[in-house]
Amino acid sequence: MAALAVIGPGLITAQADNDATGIATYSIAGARYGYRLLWVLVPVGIALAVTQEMGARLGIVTGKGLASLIRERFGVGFAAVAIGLLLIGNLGTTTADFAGIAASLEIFGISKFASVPVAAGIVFLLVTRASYRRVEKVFLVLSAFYVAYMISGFMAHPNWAHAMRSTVVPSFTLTGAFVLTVVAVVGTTVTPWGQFFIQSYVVDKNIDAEQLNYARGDVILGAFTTDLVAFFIIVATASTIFATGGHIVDAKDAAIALKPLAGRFASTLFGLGLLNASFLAAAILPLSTAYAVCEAFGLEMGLDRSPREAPIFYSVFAFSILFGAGVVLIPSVPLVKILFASSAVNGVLVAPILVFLYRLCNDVDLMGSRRNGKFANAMGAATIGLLILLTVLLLGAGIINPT
Amino acid sequence: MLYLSSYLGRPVLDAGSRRVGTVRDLTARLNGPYPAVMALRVRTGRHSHIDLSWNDVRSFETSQIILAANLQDLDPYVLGDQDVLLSRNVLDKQIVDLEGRRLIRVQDVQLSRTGTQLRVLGVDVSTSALLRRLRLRRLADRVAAGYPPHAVAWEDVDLGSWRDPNVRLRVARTGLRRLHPADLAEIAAALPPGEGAGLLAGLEDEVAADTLEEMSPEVQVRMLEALGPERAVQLLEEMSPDDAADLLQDLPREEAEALLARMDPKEAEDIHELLGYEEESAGGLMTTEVFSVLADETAQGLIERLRARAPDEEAAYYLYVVDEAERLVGVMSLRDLVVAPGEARVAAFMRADPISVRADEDKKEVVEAIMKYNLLALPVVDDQERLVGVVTVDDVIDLVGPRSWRPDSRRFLRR
Repeated sequence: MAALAVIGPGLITAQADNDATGIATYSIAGARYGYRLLWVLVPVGIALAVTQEMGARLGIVTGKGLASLIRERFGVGFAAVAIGLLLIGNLGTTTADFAGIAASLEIFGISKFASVPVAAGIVFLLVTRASYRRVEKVFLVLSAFYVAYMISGFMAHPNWAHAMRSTVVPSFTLTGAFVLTVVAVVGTTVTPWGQFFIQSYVVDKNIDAEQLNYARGDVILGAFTTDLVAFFIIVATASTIFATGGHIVDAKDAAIALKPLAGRFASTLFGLGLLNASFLAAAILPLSTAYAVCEAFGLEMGLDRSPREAPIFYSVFAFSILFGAGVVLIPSVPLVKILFASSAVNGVLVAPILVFLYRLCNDVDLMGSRRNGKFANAMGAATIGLLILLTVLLLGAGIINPT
Repeated sequence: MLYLSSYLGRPVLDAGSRRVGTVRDLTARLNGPYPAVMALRVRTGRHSHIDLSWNDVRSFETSQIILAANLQDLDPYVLGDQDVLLSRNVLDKQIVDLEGRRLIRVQDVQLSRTGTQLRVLGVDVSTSALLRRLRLRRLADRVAAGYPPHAVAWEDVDLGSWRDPNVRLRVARTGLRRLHPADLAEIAAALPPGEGAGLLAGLEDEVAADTLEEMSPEVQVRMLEALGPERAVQLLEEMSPDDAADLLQDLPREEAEALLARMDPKEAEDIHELLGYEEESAGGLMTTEVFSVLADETAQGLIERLRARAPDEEAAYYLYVVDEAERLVGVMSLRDLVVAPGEARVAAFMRADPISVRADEDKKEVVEAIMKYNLLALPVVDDQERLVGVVTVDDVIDLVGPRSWRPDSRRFLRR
């Protein structure tokens, strides 16, 4: 029973992690470089498990959200920095999710000038009328769409020997495009909002410190699932699009990866899957951003307040939606590139958030005997170091060797 | 106005004007309405600090603090039980504003200088204080001009963190007693569940039970689960049976059974009986705590019996008269009873044929009857006209009022 009650947060966060940006980023990685980036998934999976475990443990032991803890332990200045990073990352991801909505509906011949405003309206109503919860389960069930990639991955008859070798043997090219793709693969998995999300999730479930090990198992399972999905998306795209020398310019191109499974229905399947993933995140992100901002700064918040009582809360919420939808509506903006770019932005922004997480998990007053052990610290430090190294490489390679 | 934030990080010099470190924190002793600052915590290195008594401070300006002697000649101050570190334990934390009855975050701590002493006046919770600390001075001034700074006096503050009393605050938390259970319920619901349950756990049983009654079903379940079975049973026994039954109905079946099994058998029986009724019916709304009266009692005798029994407030708006078979035959209000002559028999001044509903009738009927006849309570009878319970107006107001029309928004994101 206890195990059942706790299992969930890690898995759900993992589902949400593989949102539209995930689908797009892994697809692009596979289409551009074939199996070559598969090895990145190993350190990324470990990094995800380690950081999510730290976040879950921090939430379980302190009973407080990440925004609150950063404010309480590091003061208002650092809280402003952390929230600023979160805000930028979330605005990027929200934009990407509206781009995902637009791209998926374009497959069905619906113009983004029609789909995006309508989607923004639906998101706004779903959230403010609080009927979102009723449909959330539908979204989550539809996430089973990822299974399609696994089947398609097998049916495409990939070169398994090659794929497995690429998973264990790292290969790296110091060009701007390659490093950017690596950063994007990391940044679509380990994200600022994912850290805030997992922590508030366990806080709200009020999981007991005794059940820490179940939560850990769940988080690790979640990280593994995320990785597995990523693996198959890359394998499927590598053995279809990359193998035939194709490129991903818009969503229709990415759908080709599902051809071995779905044949001529590949586009439909892909479109629906992308739409679902985009909508799920577009509904969650603006609201969770607004909560984090108000939690950190001690401002009135909650949908049970009126906009007059909680002006900042509603402003952040509405601004996120308007910004995201607005950018996507710029006439010639490349939708798939937005999805990819937001992953890269999150990959750069997440390192400082992880520094806060690392410090908090080492705070004896806060965590007592449940503070980070040597293993968690080594892994956490390695993750942060790697992210910083990648950012530096990205800047360096981007300037010296952009392609 | 002086603020804690304007001292933090400022240089500390010794008597010979040598820099010994920076201000890390101020310690105040929590007694009286304006606690005095007792000590200064000086950050002397990356991982080291020293506490010094305020008596060892020669001058304190927001630009710098000068000690009365050299550092090595001073004895460290030892923090007492009543001492609180203002930056560590108060600044940036969530607290309860007892005057405004809400949860707030401390944006800054207001201090006041009287001679050589520094005292805490209150906490600043205004947005302008937040902006000032973010060094957005001009914006802060503009906001302050529009919305005057809002400070909460120190007396009106309850220093949060109920989940975890380990924040070295051993000060008695009596402040919350000032709040009405409805306000406590709102505050507890706004906190993360662990903290909210901690707040409830610190209240006396009766207040905690009343607070629990005021919460929405979803929050009640969350609190009960966080409180643990032992405390949950205590509170359920303290709650009125109808509210307890409603709550148990929202719990998973095995959990509800387990709690009932641990409860006092008599209380549990009442609740069991209520659980037998459909939730949306009159029976599901009513409480079984009824004060029933026989027709041949005298007014004086009844008043004395009431005094001795001292029934709960919600059970005593009206007194219901039953015959020997427990059938409902009459009703009287407390006013009817009080103005009746002492020797008069109940039968003489009760009103016969009272308005009542059957236990299996829909709650809509209950609302209609109460509203139509302007009643404070409505008796509920079974199919043989026997009195089984009463629905009071407070149970009905929640059904018609605007209070619960919006779901608890925060939980919808994450459950």
